[in-house]
Amino acid sequence: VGKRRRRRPRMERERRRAAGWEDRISELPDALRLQILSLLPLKCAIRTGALSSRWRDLWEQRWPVPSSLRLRVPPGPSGAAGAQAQLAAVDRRGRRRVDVFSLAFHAGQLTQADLKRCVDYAAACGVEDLQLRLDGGGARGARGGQRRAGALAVHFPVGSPLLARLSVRGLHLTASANAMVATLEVIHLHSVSITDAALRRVVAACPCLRDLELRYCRHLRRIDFTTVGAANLRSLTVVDCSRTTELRVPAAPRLRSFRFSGPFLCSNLFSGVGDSFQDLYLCSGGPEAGLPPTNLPSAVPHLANITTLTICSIALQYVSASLATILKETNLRRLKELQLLMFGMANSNLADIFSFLKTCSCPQLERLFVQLPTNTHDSFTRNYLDVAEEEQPEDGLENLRLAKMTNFKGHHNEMRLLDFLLTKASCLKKLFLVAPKEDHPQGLRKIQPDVLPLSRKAEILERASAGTQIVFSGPDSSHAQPLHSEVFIRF
Amino acid sequence: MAATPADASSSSSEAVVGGEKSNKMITLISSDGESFEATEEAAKMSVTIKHMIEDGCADDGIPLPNVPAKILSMVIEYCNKHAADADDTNKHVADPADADEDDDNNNNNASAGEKEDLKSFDASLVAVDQATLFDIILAANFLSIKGLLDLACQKVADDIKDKSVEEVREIFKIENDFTKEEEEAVRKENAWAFNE
Repeated sequence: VGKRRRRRPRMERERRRAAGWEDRISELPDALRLQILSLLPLKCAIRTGALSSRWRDLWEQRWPVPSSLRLRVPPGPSGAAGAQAQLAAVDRRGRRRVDVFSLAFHAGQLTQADLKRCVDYAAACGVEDLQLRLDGGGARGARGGQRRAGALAVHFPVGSPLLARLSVRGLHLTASANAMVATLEVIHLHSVSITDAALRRVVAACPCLRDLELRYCRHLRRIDFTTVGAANLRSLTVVDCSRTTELRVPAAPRLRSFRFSGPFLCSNLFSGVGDSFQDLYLCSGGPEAGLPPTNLPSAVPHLANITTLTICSIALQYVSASLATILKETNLRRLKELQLLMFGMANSNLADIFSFLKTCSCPQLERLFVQLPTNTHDSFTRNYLDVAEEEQPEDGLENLRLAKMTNFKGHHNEMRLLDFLLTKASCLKKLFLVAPKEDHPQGLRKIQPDVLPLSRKAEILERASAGTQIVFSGPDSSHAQPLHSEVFIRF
Repeated sequence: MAATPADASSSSSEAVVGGEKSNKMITLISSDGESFEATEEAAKMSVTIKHMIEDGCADDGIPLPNVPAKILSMVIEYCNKHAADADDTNKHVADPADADEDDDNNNNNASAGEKEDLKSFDASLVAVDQATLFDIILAANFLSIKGLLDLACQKVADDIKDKSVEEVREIFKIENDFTKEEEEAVRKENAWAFNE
């Protein structure tokens, strides 16, 4: 009986082999695996890299090397001269398949004809991931709506019919009507001057569009996809498209993630999302004087399925105001991670935080990140008028394990918030207090004195319970990053 | 018939085609000792076998120690079908200046119909279990039969296309030997391709 047991693993393998359980595909000679990989669209080929270690780097060799072309033209006079040499080298490469074609250059180095030549070459090589970047072209259109004469332009549809990913920066983008690019899934436009109508035409041409990112596209006034549809959209990012006053997205049942940074506007987005909407980033882009009309922040308490939320202090102000009219409590019952971007930490800001946590209870919250403002002056004001202050929430942080406060300076309201966390979050395991970066003139680096005096630190440590570890760290620490680690503004 | 250059060339090419089409049969011996016969024309679809014939090594039958009988019979079936098709194509191409329009249309219809037949034949040939499919790939590779290799590889690619990583692993029994960190790193490198 003992012998039978020892032999079992080998028998198992052999039985499996007999039943056809062998991994035949990984045993094929590389040349054959490469042939199979060359028959896949780029996205599927990239995924094979995660199958097992034997597949990790194979897909990158499916075309004769190099399968990706990255042209970089550095700034300055040497760059312009080198540009022509690089273009000639590309011509010599000949027309063969390319996976990624990436071109980055500076204003004045390439002409419109050069740009067209590159784009046409990439298209002829069946490019699937096209990246075009121009720095210094001033295409954000901060002033006026007219395209500058001589601004370099790209016309959509661009690249090959196999295009899956398009990233354009700093150029002007025009678009034909009634185009169809059935494979295009990811579009990132950064500082691109594009009109409302052209954007609609681009979205209409891409029924498989999953990920749309619009940053600093300052010619847009109304982002309106009602007539063109965006049925497959999973992720939408709009950053500082500062002239946009409206965002209309019809039913987006598959939308998972929405990130918005910039002056708040009106949108019907939230009414069209479904159960898969999990992830929201809402930031006004900076401290503002007025509060323009918007319906975005007030929708937050009703997003019952979100798991990750980043919200700024301006949005919290709106939410506070809207909560005054809500009679019963709402429940962000799936929220696991919350990040607060505080432009100010005055008494009213702290009150907004408390009122948010009280009314939209987050019983499952596990991680809390707070970006505090960098002002060196403590904005706490003593309450001389005996007006009732916002009370701390009684409960709701039972599951909080991790908290991190960045730019922590020990100011009064910061300490009050800290106190609240230490007393109410009974399961808190780790609390990170990250010191602010210090801006020294002309990059002088001096030995950084502790922003927090030792006595303050001791005070904090005393308040913590036995199970909580408090970590004081410098500004460059990379502990515990939130999901929304990219914050689109500077603090 | 007027002795137009077209006629002359077509009749002469037909004569050439007729002449070259030898009825010589080649014997192919599978790894398990079974013998199969194929026309020389069909056998020459395999570049490997073509070279052996030309080098005069084919007289006593060609042993193929890498190809089991089950696979060899499928390969020969493929070659027979596609060799006939290549032959017909040559015949039609040889009559470009044929003035008889009806005849031309008939030829075109026939070749369109044959193309459909060929496509469905190809599809059913590779609609087999995985093990057989990989055996076909290896055999087509060893025998250098480009059309069959392309066909079988395309089938595998179709099985991979648009599936998640987990699904592909399951279908092909690939063992995931990455650590959690390694797999995350791979997925992060080109996150856009992995986002669901």
